[in-house]
Amino acid sequence: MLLLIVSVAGIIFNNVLALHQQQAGVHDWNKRLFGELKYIQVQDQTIFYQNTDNQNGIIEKSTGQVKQRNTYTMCDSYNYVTYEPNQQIIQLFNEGYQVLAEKEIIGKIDHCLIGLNGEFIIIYGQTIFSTFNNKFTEKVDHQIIYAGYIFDVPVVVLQKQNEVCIYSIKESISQNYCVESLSNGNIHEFGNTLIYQDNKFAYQLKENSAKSLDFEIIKKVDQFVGFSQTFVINDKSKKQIVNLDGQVEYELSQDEFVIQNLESQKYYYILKQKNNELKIVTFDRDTKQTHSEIIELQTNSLILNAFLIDQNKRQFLIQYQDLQTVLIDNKGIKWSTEQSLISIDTVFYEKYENQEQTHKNSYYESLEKHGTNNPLFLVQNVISRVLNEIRDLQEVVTHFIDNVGKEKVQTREMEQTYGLKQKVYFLTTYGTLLCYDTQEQSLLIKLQINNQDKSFKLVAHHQIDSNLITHFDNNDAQPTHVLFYYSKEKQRLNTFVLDLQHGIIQQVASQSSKNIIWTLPYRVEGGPGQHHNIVILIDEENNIFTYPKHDAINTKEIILYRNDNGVLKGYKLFNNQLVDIWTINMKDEILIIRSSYHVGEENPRVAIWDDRKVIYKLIDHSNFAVLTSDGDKLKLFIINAKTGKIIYQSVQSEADFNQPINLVFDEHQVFVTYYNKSQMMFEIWTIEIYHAKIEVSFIKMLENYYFTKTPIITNYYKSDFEAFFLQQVYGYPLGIKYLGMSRTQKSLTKKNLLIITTTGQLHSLDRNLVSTRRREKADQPILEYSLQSAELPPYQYQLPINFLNTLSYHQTFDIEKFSIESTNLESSALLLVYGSDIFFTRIAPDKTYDMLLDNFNYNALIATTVLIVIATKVLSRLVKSSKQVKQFYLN
Amino acid sequence: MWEIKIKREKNLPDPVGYKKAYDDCQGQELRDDLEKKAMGIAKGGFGNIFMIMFTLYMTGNMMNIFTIVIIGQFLWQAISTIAKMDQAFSSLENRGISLFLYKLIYLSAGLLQLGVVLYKLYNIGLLPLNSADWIDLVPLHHQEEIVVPYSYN
Repeated sequence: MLLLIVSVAGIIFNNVLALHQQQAGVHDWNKRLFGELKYIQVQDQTIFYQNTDNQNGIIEKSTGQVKQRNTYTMCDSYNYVTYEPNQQIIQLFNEGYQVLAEKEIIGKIDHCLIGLNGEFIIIYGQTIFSTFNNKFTEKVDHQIIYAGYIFDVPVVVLQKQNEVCIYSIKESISQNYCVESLSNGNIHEFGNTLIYQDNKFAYQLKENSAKSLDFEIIKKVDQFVGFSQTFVINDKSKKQIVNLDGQVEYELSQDEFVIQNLESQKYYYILKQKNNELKIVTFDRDTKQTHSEIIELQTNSLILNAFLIDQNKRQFLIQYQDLQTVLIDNKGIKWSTEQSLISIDTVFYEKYENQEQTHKNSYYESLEKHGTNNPLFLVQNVISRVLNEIRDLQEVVTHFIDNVGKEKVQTREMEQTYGLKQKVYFLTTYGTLLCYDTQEQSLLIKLQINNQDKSFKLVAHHQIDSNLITHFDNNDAQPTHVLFYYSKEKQRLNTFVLDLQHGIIQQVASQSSKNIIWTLPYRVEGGPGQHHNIVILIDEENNIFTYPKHDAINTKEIILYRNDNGVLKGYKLFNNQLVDIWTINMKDEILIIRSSYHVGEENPRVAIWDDRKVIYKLIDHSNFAVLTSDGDKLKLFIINAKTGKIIYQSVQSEADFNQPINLVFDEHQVFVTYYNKSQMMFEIWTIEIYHAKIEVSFIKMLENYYFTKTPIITNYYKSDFEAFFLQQVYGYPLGIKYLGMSRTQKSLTKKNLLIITTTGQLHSLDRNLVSTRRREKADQPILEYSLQSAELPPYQYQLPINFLNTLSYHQTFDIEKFSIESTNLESSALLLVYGSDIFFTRIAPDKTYDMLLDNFNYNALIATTVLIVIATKVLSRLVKSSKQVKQFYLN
Repeated sequence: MWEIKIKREKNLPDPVGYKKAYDDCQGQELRDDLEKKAMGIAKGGFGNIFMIMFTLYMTGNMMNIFTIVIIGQFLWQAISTIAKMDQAFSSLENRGISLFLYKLIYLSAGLLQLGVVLYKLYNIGLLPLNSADWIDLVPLHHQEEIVVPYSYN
């Protein structure tokens, strides 16, 4: 009895443990980034920052993590102003508690200042609003190029025809003075004054007058060391700290960076990074003496920006040109982060290679060959499944015995085998390539793409066969990544090859070209069973480039299309030349174009079943969707790129074009999201294309695909183009910033809609809910040959929001895009969402397809089985030896 | 000492006063008895049908362990009924009556049982008699031409 109680208690404990382990977000991680810093302010353990994208936030000084990102505009350290785009109302807050005023504005806030009497001054567009006395609003006639302070007096600088004018904002807005200028000037803070410079003029802007500056000196200025009222000028051969009169205070070398001391203005700190060493020189401006120290730092990059954090502890925050940011003090590095991730060009993945790969599973091979639901191979599949399960079990047992006590190793290997743990590569606009482990967040590789200036932009990233690249001694069959960068300025196309195995990026080609319009990976057939991949690039003058070089590319029909300033043009690639095939003049403004074809997508299923009938999706990758705007009307066109024919068009009115609009084309479905002004809600507009054919008889199916002598129909869009276009509109109660689609390896399991909400959450929406096939009423009978579904819930305008499907849980992120990578498990995919924050998670809309539930616990199962066996054995012995039983036998 | 030797021979002579072969027994009464017995065996299968139908109706159309066990049992019963037809009539073989009609009735009873069970299987969705069951015969979409939109990135 006692044993049974212990067994039951053990099982319950194990189950509780399993449930405890099934915490939300166990596979998630996130990084919040502050990017390229422009301005910082340190208070105790926090660093208030503003970056070059004018984002504000707080960095935790001890860890370097972004603790909080402000969605509001800071006016000073205490006062801030919020803006709700939907309501167009600003709210002014004093120290975060008190709402001082509310005002309706149109457009976003450009500047917020605090006046001499503590009033708020809000500047948006050409309008200035002040809370002084009874509040006033004034609209100025010219563009405001700067708003700031001169000796604590709030000022705005206006660009007029041939002059800039300084206006002070006190009880009212009054013009102080104007100075001659061109129209492309910049303004810098300089002590308590401002400095204006353009290509011809330079002034120090004071309260009531401007002082003309030596233009030649200003032209050379590399850095304004404002509080010390000096500049760092960068001449060809030398770098110097000079004052307004051009007097030299200190001479530096080209690779040195100056930090001013904001507190005493007595010292300059001069930093120099060389050969993994950071040299800090302290220059006393009074005594002209220097003191230097050296800290070891593993980087070869140049310093981009540096800030003094703590003078006593000699703490500095340094940002390198690759946006690696480190906090150092005299004891060494406190923390280091890679901030270039704030601007990601592209993301790609690489699966880990497991040493012990499992045997080929004949069951899955059969499924692949004959289809998952083919009843003719049912028995064969069942037998092979059982045999394979036995073999798998054998392997698992052997492996388990080999790795007893190494649970982590087993889990890791399992996750690598199924592709749940991969390497993710980020290619950033800062030219860095960063590789992280998707599970452990550890930085595995960091590479820098050199030999290019800032004007080079990534045009394309493709994978091709490594045996075509002769630059590396690669004998393996691993695909090689090729990166194409284009510079508009230099009109050059640079090609880089990335060898991930050896961690090398190498430039392999550079050629002059015009702006690249199309890039496509192309498979060249080289005889039976042989092929290799090349990349074709076409510029705007229709010049065709290939990498690696290849002449004949006419084995397969290639159709291309583009938007040429509102004119849609279709081309065919023929004999290494582009031939025009159609032109469509769009009357309205083109907003978005999306193709139904996505690179790397497997051949999708055409047939789907509903209840007991088979219906056919009309998939044609030569279709593309175009979204245009006409007043408040949102128009959708579906065009066939082969023929140039508009095969479908429809319109929705009352769309708000100030809110985000999205268009997704996936297989036969088009999804459009927009804000409907009359409904005051974001809407999801779905259009689905089906073939007119519906199959209800299995005999007909067998006849069509087994016994027919005519060729099997593979392309339903080709066979008697008889299409049904269905459309439906749904109201989505949350805001939609970005819409995308989940992806799986074979597209067999459900693909959900993934939505980044306007509040920065990530929501997964069941695709069936936005289907056009939902019937109008629950009791509506469904005809045999109807496309309406008996299995989907009846139509309801407003979509229900299941908050359990919020993939980001309670957290909100500043995210814009996402990248999805399939795993070896059909049910699961890796999802990485990025923007100013990075959020990673695993998604499995159809989890039970090939995975056990999260609360399934092997340990509990094994323990239960063992305990039951032991309990049975022990109890049977106890029963046999009991007195009553003995007495029974005796009688 | 004495011993008894039992010869296991098949063609032993009949005991005194006993005649095994019915051919020799020409009585109409006996023939009627045999036909009655044969009809009893042949119709035996029909008696079960209502019980099978009721039980299957009670199990409902949900797939669970009980449904599987019950349907499996009835399916096996129906198949074994048909398979054991000769065995069921073995005692009436070579008794001078034609068993063809009785076997036909017996077979139809067995087939009816099988039909009821198969109908149940169909209702549960385990028989591939819908077009949706053969959906994998439809090939995947295959695009012949390459279509390239403006700028991938």
